[in-house]
Amino acid sequence: MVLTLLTVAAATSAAASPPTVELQQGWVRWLPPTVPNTALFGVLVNPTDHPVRLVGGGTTVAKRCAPMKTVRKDTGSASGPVMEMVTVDALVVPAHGRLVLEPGGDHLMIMGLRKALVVGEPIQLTLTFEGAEPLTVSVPVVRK
Amino acid sequence: MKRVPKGVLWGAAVVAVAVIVYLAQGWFGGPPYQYASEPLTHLKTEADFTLQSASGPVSLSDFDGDVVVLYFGYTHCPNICPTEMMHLAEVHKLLPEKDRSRVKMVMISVDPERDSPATMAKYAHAFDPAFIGLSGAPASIAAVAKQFFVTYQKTDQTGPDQYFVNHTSAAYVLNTRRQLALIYNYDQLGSDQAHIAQDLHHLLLRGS
Repeated sequence: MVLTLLTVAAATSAAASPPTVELQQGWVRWLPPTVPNTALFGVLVNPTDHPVRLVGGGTTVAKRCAPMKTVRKDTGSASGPVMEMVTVDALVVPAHGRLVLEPGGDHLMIMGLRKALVVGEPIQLTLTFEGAEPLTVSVPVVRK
Repeated sequence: MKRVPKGVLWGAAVVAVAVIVYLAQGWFGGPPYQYASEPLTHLKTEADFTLQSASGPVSLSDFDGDVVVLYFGYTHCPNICPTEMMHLAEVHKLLPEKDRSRVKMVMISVDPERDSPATMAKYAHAFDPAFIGLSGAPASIAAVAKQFFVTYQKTDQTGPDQYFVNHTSAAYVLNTRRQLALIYNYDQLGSDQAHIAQDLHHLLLRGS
């Protein structure tokens, strides 16, 4: 009975608020304390009818955040591709689509860490978008 | 005479072929070992260099008789380098225990202006206490990178002391005679850790 009420309540609140961008399976990578940077990974889900652009973010644990892409430049040598980090104005989450932020791919770089990262400790971040309200998330520091 | 079902005949034939193949392998020393990456058999020159560790100069020849895995990267690298270092730590864990002290994982900075030997040591140790971190004078680093066909280039500054270094992201494996034996590119390092551990074990067994 309680469960039914809760389900109804959840469904009602979901219906009442407009669909917004969501971060699923978010995590921040643990890095050795000598490193002033890290990155946010996860899957951004955009249930809206228009594309949404991730343009930046903020957190109390670091100076600034910036969307970045990893670009592979094939060299034709046995060493394989050169991986380049490129700052971009925005990363786009397509309408009714997803954007995967992953090691070796797109990510939100977190620069100028003010404190050492502790595995398992949550970090609060606010992601800023064009086309959607800011999204505040709490994600764990993961060593992987 | 009772007819033998066709299936049984086929089965017997398959078994016979398998036995012959198995025996033939015994006679000819078995199939050649298949590395996760194409072995570089044509490179016979002995590599060498001297760079700086937190506790003084380190030369490649200090590791004679061991297999050495070199990775070129930098500590400010937020994405690729830590990914690769974690893959190398995984490979190191997958090695038979007796091999671990004989496979030297060495990270060389391509950003010597920001990475001191002490920074490199701390960084490397964070991934595995046995890992070695090296830096050095920019000209020394450039010479070592050239030996291994590693390219790297600073990007434009995005802030005070904020820049990236675009670089080749591969692991270079030297056999016990300091000859470049294998190169694992970015994709192989990410997907083949168990096979890479086997390769390193095999290189140690083979001795060259």
